[in-house]
Amino acid sequence: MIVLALMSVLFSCRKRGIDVTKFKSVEEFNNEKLKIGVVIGTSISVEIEKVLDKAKIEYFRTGPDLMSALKLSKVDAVVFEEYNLTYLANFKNLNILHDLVVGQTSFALGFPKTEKGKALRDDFNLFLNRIKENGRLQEIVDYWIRIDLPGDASIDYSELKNVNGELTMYTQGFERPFSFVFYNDIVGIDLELARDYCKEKGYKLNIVKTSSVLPAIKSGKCDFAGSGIEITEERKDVIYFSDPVYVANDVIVINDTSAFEGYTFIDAIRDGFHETLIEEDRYILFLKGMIVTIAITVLSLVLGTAVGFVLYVIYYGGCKVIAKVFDSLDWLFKRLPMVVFLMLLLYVIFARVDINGAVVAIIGFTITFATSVFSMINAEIKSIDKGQVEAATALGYTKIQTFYDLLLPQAFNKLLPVYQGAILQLITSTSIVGYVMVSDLTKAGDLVRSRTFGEFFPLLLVAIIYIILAKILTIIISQMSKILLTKFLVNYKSLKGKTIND
Amino acid sequence: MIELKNVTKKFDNFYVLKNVNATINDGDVISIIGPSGAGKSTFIRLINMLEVPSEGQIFVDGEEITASGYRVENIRQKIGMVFQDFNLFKHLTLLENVMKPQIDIKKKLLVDAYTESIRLLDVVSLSEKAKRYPHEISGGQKQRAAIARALAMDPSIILFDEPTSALDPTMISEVEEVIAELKSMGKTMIIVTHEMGFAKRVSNRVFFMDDKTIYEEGTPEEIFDNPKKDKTKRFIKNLRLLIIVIDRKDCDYWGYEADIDKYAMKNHISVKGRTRLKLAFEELVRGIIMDKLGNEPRVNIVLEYSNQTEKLKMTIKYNGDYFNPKDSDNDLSYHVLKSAMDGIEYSEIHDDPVYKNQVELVLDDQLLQNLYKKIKKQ
Repeated sequence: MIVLALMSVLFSCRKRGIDVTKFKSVEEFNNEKLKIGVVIGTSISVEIEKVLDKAKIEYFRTGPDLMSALKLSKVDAVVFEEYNLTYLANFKNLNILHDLVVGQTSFALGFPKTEKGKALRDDFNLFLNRIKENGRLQEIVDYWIRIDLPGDASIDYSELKNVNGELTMYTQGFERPFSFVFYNDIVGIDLELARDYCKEKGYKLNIVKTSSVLPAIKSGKCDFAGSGIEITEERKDVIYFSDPVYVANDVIVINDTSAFEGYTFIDAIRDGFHETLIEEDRYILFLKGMIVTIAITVLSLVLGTAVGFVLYVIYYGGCKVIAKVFDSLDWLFKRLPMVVFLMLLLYVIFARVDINGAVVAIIGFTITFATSVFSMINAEIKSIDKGQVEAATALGYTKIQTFYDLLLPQAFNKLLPVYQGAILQLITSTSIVGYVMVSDLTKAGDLVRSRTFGEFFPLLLVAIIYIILAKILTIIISQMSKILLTKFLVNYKSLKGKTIND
Repeated sequence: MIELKNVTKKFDNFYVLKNVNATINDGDVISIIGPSGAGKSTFIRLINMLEVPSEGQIFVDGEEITASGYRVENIRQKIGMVFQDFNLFKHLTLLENVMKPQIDIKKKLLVDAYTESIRLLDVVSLSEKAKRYPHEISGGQKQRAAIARALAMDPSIILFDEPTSALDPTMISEVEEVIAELKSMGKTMIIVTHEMGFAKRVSNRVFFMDDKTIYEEGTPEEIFDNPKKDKTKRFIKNLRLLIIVIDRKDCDYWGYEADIDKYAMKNHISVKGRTRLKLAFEELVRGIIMDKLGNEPRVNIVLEYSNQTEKLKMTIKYNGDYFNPKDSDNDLSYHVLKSAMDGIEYSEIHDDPVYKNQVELVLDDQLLQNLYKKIKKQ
C-alpha cells in the first residue's frame, strides 16, 4: 500500500516534453509530438481525428480514466465535453481552455431498433419538441447541470401509474448530468425526462442500472435507455436515437501544475477520504456493493460445491457422460473470459427471459465453480493408485463405500489448498458482474470514481475490502474443513486407557 | 471348498484362461507357478470376483458366486487377498489400516476393532510400527501389514498374488515366514509365487499354469523334482538356472552381476559366497575372456544350484579360437579366479557351431550353508 501511494505521488509529478500551457489556438495542438486523450466511442473521438490529424490520439474507456491519465501526465491534453468539466472543480490541476472548441457532442435517449422501439421513439420526439418549446426542457437541463445541487435533489416517481403498461429504462449512473448517483440514488436529466414522459403517457417506469447500456438496447431487453448516450454515426446503425436532449461543446483541457503548490500529501489524503466515503454518504454505496459481492460469492461457492460434488459422485457411480460435459466446460472456461460468458448468459441465453443480473451472475459463477470443483476432485481421486481401490474391493467394500470411506478422506488434504485457491479466484472474478447490471463492490468503487474523478482512494478501499473478504472466507473454510477432517479419521484415540502409548 | 467349473476368461477375443477346472479343499495350501502371461493372477482374481469369468461357474462353500444377482461383497469378506504392491491405504497408519475394514465392513465396535488389530499386528510382528504410515516402513513390513489387514476380516481363504515379487531379496524371507505361520492356523491359501523353495516348504499342492489352463498339477515333489510334461520340465529347469548371454562388447556388466547376486541370494548362498561368485565372473569374463574375443563376442553363462550337493556350478561357454584361461597373460586375474572358486575345469568343444570353449566353475558354499540352517532352526 505504501509503495502504491509513493508511486502515485511520483508519477503525478512527472512532466512531459512540450509546454502546452501557453498555447492559444486549436491548431497549435495539432503537433505530432503531442498526445491527446479522448473517450473511445464518443463523437469527439471521431471528430478529433479530422481536426487534430497530426497529434497522437490516445483512447480511454471512461471519463474518469481520461482525467486520471491527464492527471498522471500520460497525455499532454484531453478533449472533453465542456459542461462535464464543471464537475471537476475539485481537481486542482485542470486548466480548461474554454475558447478552444474542437467540436460538438449531442446527447439523446436510445431505443431498440424494432418496430416497437421506433414507435416509442417517434412518440417521445413529439413530447420532446413540445417541452423544448414551452421551456420545460431548458428548466430540467439547467437544474441538473448545476454543480451545487441541493442535498435533497431527487426525482419523485410516486405519481406514475400503470395505466398503459410499464416501461423498462436502462441507465448507467456514470454520466452527470444525464444519469448519475447522488446520495445513493440515480438522478439526472435523462431520468427526469423519462419520468415526465411516463407521467404524461400513463406508464410505470422500471429503472435498471447497468454498465453496458448499448448491448442492452441492441438485445432489446429494455424499452429505452437514457444515460447521456452520445449520437454517433455508427450507433445510428444499431439503435434509434431521439432528437438531441442537450448539445455540448468539446474543449481542450490541460494540466495546470502550478495549482499543486502548497497542497501537501496529507491534504490529498484527507480530501480523498472525505470525498470517497463521507460526501453524499458514499460509504453506503460501498456497504451495499460489499453485501452484493459477498452474496454472489457465497451463494456460487455453496451451490457450485454442492453441484460439483454431487455430479462427481454420480459420475463415479458410473455415469461417464458427466465427465465429458465437465471436460468440455473446463476446456471452454480456460479460453472464454468470464465476463464474456456472463454477458452471453444475460444477452443471448436469457435474452428473452426477465431475469435479474445478480441471478445470472450466480448461475454463471455456480457453473464455473462446479466445473472447477468437479475437475479438482476428479484429478485427486484419479491420482490415487488403482491398487488401493482393488484392495478395498477385495476386502468387501462397495464402490460407493470405497469412495466415501477411503478415497475422499485421502484426497481431502490435498484438495483443501486447491479448493481455497479456487475460492480466492471466485471472489476476485466476481468483480466483473458490473457488466451484467449488478452493483457489486467494484462497481461501487467505479461509481464513486465517476463522481470524484479521483482514482486512488476508491480503488485502494476496494482493494482492501477484497483482501479482507478473501481472508475471512479462507479462515471459515479451513475451520470447517478441520471439523470435517475429524469425521474421516479412525478415532481410536477416544479409547482412553486402552490404547498403546504414542 | 472352492470349485471352478469350465471357467473361461477372455478380453475381447483374447483368451487368458480356457476351460479351467479345479477343486480346492479346505486347508489346502496351493502354489501356482508358471511363465508370465499364463493367467496365474487372473486365476486367483476370479476366485474373489475381481475378475468376472466370461464363461463357467465358480462355487465357494457350495454357493455359486458367479450366479447373477449374487452379492459378491459377501463372499469377498470370506476371502482375504494380498497383493504384489501391498496396496495399503496411504493416508492411514498401519493400525488404522487394519482397523478400518473391521469398522466399515464388519461394523465392529471401535474397541473390539482396536483390540483385534493390535493382536493381528503382533502376529505379523509389527506392534511397534502400529502408528507408522505406510511410506515410513520397508517393503517387507508393508507386506506383513497387508497380511494383517487381510486377516482382520477373519477370512477362511487367503489369496496371495506374487506377495514377494516387489520386495528386495533381503526382505523376502520375513514375509514368507509370516505366510508359513498362517498355514498352521488352518487357512486355505492360494499363492502365486516364483520362489520354488518357499513353494516346496509351504504348499501341499502345486498348479503349473500354461496354455491358458492348469497344465500340470501335483505335490511339490512331483512338480519340482519329477515333472511329467515337457513345458513343466522346461520351466522348472529354467527356474533353477540363471542364463546370461553376452553378445556385445559394451554390455551391462553391473546388471549381470546384480542378476547373479540375486540368483545366489535366492538360493541362500552366504554373503561371502556371493562375493566370491561375483569376483569370479568379473575376473574370468571381464578380465580374461572378453579381452580375447574382439568385436563379436558370444559368451553363454549358466548358473545352476544343486539342492542335493549344495554346490553352485557356473558354466561359461565362449566363441573365438581354442583358448584356456590358464594361458592368459593376465596372471593376476587368473590368480584371483583360482582363489575365489573351489574348482575350475576347462574343456574344448568340437561339435558346436558357435562355442569353442567351456569353463566350469564350482562354488562350494556348504560349510556356510550348514551354519545358516542352524541359525534358522533356532
